[in-house]
Amino acid sequence: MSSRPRFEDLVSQHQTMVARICASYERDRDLARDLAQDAWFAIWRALPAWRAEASIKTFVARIAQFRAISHAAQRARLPQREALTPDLVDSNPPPENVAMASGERGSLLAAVQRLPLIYRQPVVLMLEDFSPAEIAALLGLSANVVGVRLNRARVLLRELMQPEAP
Amino acid sequence: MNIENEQEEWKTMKTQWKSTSVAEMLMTQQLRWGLRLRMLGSWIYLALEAAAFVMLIVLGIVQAAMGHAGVATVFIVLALIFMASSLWARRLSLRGASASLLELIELAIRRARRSVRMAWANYFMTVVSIAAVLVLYLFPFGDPSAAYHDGARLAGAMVIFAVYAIGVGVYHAYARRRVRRFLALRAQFASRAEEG
Repeated sequence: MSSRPRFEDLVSQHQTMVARICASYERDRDLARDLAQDAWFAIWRALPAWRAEASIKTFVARIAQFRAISHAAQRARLPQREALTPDLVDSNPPPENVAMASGERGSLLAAVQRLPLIYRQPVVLMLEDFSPAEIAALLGLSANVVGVRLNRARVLLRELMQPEAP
Repeated sequence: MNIENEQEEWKTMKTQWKSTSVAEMLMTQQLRWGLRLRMLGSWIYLALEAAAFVMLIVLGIVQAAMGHAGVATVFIVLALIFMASSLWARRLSLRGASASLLELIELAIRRARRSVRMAWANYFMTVVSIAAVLVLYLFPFGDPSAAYHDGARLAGAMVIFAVYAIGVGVYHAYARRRVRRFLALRAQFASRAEEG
């Protein structure tokens, strides 16, 4: 049986993953920082309920993802502005996003940020090395639905990362 | 595109995704202090609540030792009512399956509902406290020169109770808004969960 890890160890091991998940859902850097803090606070509060049935990385990712989605829903005043529809792509990236998109990593992040929520969820987890089966369990979806969404998301990402024609 | 190419594409994206960026490092370094303060605040809130119960019981024991049985009874009864209210508010189970995001949303709804109960428990405790202060002021309990027989202090206590009740009202509104938000989120997820 695995023992419960120390919170400080969790932060140092998974802080970049949580930061990336939060940055995927919030483009404003200050708000993304607040969101990451919220996620870690939620992880700290939930830690006593962790059981070794799921890996600690899954546990951390799940809570961070939940916080981020909840934050996105709140910010977008669901369902009016950012409904979970497959065809919604944000076409107005803010200036700081454009600045972050200077390198490959930035352009991938910018592309992920522009994905509709239903694609962004599995993609972020896939990029964090979760298997499709783990993603399905984590999102409460069937493996088939996850496979379909990942495929569509990959195509969308490829299009979004294409440099625009001059 | 065949499966091998798809996997290669994911592999390339994963490598890009994980390459460190200065912005990210800054973000994670800067959140530590705020996080620690929030954790501390959470402990302090619990500690204050426990301290309030203990203080009321100690006051009751002191009054009983001084031979003021009536006052002692009021303090002990207050402490017991407060403890019962707090337990009632907290008894909503927050444990449960949280294997998927939908289940986490359920958990968040339960947490938000518990916050609403906490607000109701606090309204109740405020009303009981006002009643207790009035009883101590109006009836000839204990020492006639004691603070609880002083009219100016009674007025001060009422102002504190009013401010506290307003604070609870604000928290109550916030908690209800959270319940509504998570219910909306659950409806969104439930209706879209099986869409391809």
